Amino acid sequence: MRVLKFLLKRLGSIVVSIACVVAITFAMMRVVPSDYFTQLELRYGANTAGKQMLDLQRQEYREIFHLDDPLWKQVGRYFVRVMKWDFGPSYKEPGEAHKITELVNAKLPVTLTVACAGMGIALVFGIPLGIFAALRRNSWIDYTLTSVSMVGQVVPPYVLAVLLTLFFAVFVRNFQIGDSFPLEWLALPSEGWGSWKNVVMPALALGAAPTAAVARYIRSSVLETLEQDFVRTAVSKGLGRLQVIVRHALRPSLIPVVTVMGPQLSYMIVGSVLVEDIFRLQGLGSLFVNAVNERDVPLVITSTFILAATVMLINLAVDILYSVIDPRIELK
Amino acid sequence: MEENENTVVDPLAGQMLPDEGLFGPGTPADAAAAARSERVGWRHNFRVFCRHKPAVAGLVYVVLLVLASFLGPAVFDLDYEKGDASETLIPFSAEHPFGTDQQGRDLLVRNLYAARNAIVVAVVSVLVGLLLGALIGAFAGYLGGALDLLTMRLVDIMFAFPQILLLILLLVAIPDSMDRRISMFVAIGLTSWAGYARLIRGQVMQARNEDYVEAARCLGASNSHILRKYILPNIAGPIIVAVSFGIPSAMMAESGMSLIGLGLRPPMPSWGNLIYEGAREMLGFPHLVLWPSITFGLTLLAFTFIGDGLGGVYGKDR
Repeated sequence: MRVLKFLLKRLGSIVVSIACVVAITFAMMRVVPSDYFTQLELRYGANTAGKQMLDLQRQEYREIFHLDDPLWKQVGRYFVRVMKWDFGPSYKEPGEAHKITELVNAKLPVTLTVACAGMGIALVFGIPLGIFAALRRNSWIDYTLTSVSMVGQVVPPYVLAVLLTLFFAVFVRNFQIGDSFPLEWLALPSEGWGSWKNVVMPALALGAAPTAAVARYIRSSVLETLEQDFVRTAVSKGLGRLQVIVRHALRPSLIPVVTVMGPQLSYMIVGSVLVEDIFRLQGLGSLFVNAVNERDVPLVITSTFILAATVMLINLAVDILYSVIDPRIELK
Repeated sequence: MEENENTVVDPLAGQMLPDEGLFGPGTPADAAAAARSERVGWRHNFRVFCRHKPAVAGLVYVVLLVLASFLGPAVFDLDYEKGDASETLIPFSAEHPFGTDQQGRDLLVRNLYAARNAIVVAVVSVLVGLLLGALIGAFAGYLGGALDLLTMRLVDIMFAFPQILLLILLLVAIPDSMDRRISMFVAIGLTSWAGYARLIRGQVMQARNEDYVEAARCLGASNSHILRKYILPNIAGPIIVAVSFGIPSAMMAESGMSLIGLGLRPPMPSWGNLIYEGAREMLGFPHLVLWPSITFGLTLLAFTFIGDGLGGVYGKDR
């Protein structure tokens, strides 16, 4: 019962926040100085006849897309559509009624896969590295790990993307590991979304910061846990070092990791906006950037909505996970 | 240096926080002494800062970068736009240590200008965000009540909106005719005020209820006197730390936006558009993308180290 109340409350606040986000986006797209048609004109150029055509089309669009309605009506209509998971046509293809839904259905999995792979990398590498650094506290290994994780945390993913790709492409190839080095792993020369190998590089670039964060948190919380009474009891019972860590110290140390997972996953999903173009990935991020550059208003609004909603739902999921790992934490 | 850690040599430094007096809460006189020692305390603070080696390295790097990027182009009369068509795509030479690009423009010069743009945009937009946040946060925290509730709801909405997305939408909404650097100040300032507002509100609320503020008020100090002499010195530390971490994130915002074509526009160099242009020719001419990536990464690290050092000084971790 309490869980249900918690869920309803959180979902309610998510709906309110989303409504605000969508309303702000609608409002911003109204005041944008150059619209879809001026962008078309800029890109392709237009003579007088062409300009008249564009003006006619602009009038037509005002009716098709209800651009003259007041803001609350637009937002309301949008939410009715969202309920049916139908985002309507885009400016580019006003004839296809379900175009945006198709785009979202095709591109959301790409972004989510990369983000989840990044999280996987963060957990698989971050947890052992953090434990290792904690056990070898203040040794050179600890210092090296700490400073490398600093770099991972500070340098933005697109810079890491470039450096990683350069490293693999130029250095690995030059050092004869080879001509046989599969270039499709770089995700770069391939045409977008093919095999799972395309995921590796983007996931590494995006996963560096979460890996660093996880390692940092694990390190400090393992250090803290190792000084607790129950760990001392376990040691004095004669348990081996490994057993003490895995059985007793790890579980309480995982809690802070769960708290960083939410922000880190959000970071990777929103970060897709900056990274996908470099890797030529066809995900939500590049969808959003292209839509913004073309001023394709319905597409901008829907991709903002999807990105924001995904981030908020992930945070909710992490909060629930939090209380599963540590039942002492109440859902509030 | 090492033995100073335990025995405080400077008698006024670092121990005069008014609420830590031996006999309970301090008197206004204690607070005034603390405010005085604040000035002497700079020396002590600097020593604490210098104990954090990476922070010193970061500071040295930033000072050198600022000197090179602000004075270098002026002193040596360098131009980021003019290229030499006979010297295109040189990877490395004595004359062009960072090489040249497709139009024969020197990449060292372009990197210096990119550094200058990044620093100017970051510093100014952090100040814009801080000013907005400080005004809103201080009013909310000091006055409380319905105003406080309203502003905090606004802050919540700002946090719910992913920052990059809001930044992109704002940059699209700002007219193109405006200098892109100014639109970056506005956009980054408008997307980053919420964090400062929340921080300053909390600090002001906390400081407002301290006994020494109460005592000063009893003695007839005016609101502005209290704010300047008692509250501001006590909340300055966390604000300085927040600002020092705000600068690298504003730099990231600037270069990220330039990367996707919404920030500074070529030919005006920015680390973002240098990386974007270089990445397209990455496999053939790695030097195009290597140098901007490295200088940008180092700069971010340097600012973060400085932030860590300041965090140590003001007893606040990230």
